[in-house]
Amino acid sequence: MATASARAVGGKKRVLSPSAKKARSRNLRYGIAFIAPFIVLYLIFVLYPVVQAVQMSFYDWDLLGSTKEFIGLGNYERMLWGVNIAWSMTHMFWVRLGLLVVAVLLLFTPVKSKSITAWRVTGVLALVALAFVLGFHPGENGFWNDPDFWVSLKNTLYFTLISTPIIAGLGLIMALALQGGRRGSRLYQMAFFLPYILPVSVVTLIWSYFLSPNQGLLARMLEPFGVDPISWLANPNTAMTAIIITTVWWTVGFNLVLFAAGLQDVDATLYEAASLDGAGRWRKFVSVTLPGIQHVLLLVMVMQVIASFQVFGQVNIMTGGGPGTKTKVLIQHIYQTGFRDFELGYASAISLFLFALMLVVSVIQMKYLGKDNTK
Amino acid sequence: MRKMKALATTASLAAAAMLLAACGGGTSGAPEGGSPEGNKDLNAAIKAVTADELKGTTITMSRMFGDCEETTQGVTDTAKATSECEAIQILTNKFNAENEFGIKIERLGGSDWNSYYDAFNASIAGGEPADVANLHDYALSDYAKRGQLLSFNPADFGIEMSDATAQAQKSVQYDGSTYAVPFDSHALLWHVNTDILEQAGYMKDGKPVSPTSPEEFLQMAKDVKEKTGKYIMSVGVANDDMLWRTFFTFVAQQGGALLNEDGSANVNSAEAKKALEFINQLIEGEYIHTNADYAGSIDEWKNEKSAILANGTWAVNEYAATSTFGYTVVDFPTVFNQSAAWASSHMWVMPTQKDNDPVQYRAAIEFAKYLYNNTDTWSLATGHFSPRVSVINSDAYLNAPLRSNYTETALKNITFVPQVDNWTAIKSLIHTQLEEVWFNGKAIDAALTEAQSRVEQQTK
Repeated sequence: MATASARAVGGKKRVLSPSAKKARSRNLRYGIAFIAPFIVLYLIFVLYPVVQAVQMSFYDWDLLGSTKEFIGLGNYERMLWGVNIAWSMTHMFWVRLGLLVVAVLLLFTPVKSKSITAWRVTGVLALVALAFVLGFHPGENGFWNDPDFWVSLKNTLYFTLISTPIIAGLGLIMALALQGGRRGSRLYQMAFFLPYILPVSVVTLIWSYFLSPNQGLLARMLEPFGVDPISWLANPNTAMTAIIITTVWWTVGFNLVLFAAGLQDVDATLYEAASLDGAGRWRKFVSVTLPGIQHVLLLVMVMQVIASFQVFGQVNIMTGGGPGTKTKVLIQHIYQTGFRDFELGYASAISLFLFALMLVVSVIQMKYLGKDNTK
Repeated sequence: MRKMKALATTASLAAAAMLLAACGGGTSGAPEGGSPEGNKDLNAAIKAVTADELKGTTITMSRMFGDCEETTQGVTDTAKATSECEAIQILTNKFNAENEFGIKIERLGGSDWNSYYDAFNASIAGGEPADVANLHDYALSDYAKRGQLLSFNPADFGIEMSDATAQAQKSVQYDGSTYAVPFDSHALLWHVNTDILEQAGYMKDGKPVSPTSPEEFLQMAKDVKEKTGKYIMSVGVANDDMLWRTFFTFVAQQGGALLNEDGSANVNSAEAKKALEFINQLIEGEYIHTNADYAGSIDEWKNEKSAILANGTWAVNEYAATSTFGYTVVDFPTVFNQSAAWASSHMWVMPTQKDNDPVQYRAAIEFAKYLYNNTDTWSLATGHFSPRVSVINSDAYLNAPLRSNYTETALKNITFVPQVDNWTAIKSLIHTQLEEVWFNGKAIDAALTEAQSRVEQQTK
């Protein structure tokens, strides 16, 4: 807003004095000097491998051999296509119908107000395209080239959809419960945050022991209630639940701390004003707290979704993706393809797919959660 | 407002960093591998290394079998070994203490067998593999064909390969060259709680009565369940290979194989179907169950909830020493028309190094030779079979506790998994379809058809 006013008043670029120019140039140099160490490492260890991964995804690139063969889009075809793939209107009908309904709903308001943004058009087109693409499936005697990819994708999406709201929501509820400098709240915050600093190997060891049907504490705790020991990690119906519970315990503390910091920033006078206006606790939460922590909410949701998409360590150690493929996730599939089957080119193609997926989800989140409703 | 913008920017940057971090990594290229032709000069140089040159050489070793540093530090008495890990670590300590060249072995890692290969592959891809490493028979060709292992003539270094069993000799070769020194072979066995079988009426003259047909097996399972309320057998299924190995055994017992001689797929066979149908009968009758991983199956059996544990030779000494009930071990029963039991083997290889230092290679070969010369210690301390004929026929081996109970497996039943390129990936394709049957109720015919198609796709 300040920039807009300046433009309106000045109407042209502000002319800087020589000393101001000098100061700006000095600040720029300092700025570059300060971020240079990070940028150098970032370029070498993050951007360069990403560029290399893009290159490798077009090759049949062996992990151990020095041979590599350019195969164009071969890896992508292997990942996304199959033998005798057919398209039908009825495949995943309800899901696709749901996507089309959302697309129509997105168009409803703009059509009514006769103004539509490019973002909205893109979103609607993407939903329609997704509804179309989901109509593909293996036809008679057909199969996907890599069914494990689809299973892993499904499991990853399931894990993300279930774990993200729980971890974010629980973090917020715990932060609210410990809000206002109550006695012992610091201690609780510390206790809840503690698991987050543990490495994945320790976390999974603790939970594997805790959940063990024969030696685990949980089985002993449930015994008096007549509950037979459950093989949490070996049972296809409970394995993913166990992974989610472990992940919640491990990471919820981080969100708790972020939300606790966000809650401290909410102006206390707003609560007072709301009380004077007769607002109850729920009304205060919805109208004061939530808008006040919107930026933290965005940060938590985006980071949590990305972290959930990258779930790997706890799955690899606790269940190995099993029983069967019940908990196999995309990063594990990438890892196995690259390091067990030596197919680094194909593994790169899957990792780039995951990258694109996370990018799309993050942009959507930024677009919808990032709206500033406090104006 | 500014604060909010700053936080939103931070969120965007953090998200971008995390996204990019997810995409990158694991991109280091593979080192240049050696070739059998180039090895001739190198082999001559390795052979020419003198005792003086070897003095004080330190080499690195990467192996599976886990970590047991605390119980083996400074121990050189192999009689004190109670597990695979302790046996190999004490053998290593003994070599460090006693070898005439003063060679020192430094161990890199010590993970379980199923995560070992990830670390081993990463070390090769990173150009820094250990000087001596252990592999399974089925993995050898994956590395040998890529020139990642040193080929050598065992006779040049006094390694008496002629004493190895025919299977052991074959298992260390690829394309006519020798790439490894054999260490053992191991097979699937029945570890028995004799107290439960006694109660069920399946002990005769102090020995378990094994079934000789699928019908007898089912009857035995039924009797155990009715008379004792226990499972007939605990078997690792989730995230474990033991039921897969049972399936492999049943196929082999019918004279079948999952791959043809030429390496092509033969998964969708009458033998495979019969084996799966039989396993399904055991599951449906609730004589065995699929809700156990490796550790869970052992816990279950140790807690006396089952009569038998399907596990390998590697656990014989450990169970004999720690079981709190009547324990014995027997051959995995032959329930179809010919004897067979899933088997694999361990061996020692010398990964090719960037600097091709003959002294380092020679030191590694000397250590591998030492381990080959001590397979009697290894097999007596663990339960594995020695790959050496002289050891298998020795009084010490034949008189060792329980060994006579499973000599049939050692001599006749052993059936190695196919030694073909990328067997791990092929096995995974078949195993995935079996798990679809066991966990998701997929029809046997559909599972075998899909497994056949996938293996054909993989091997074409």
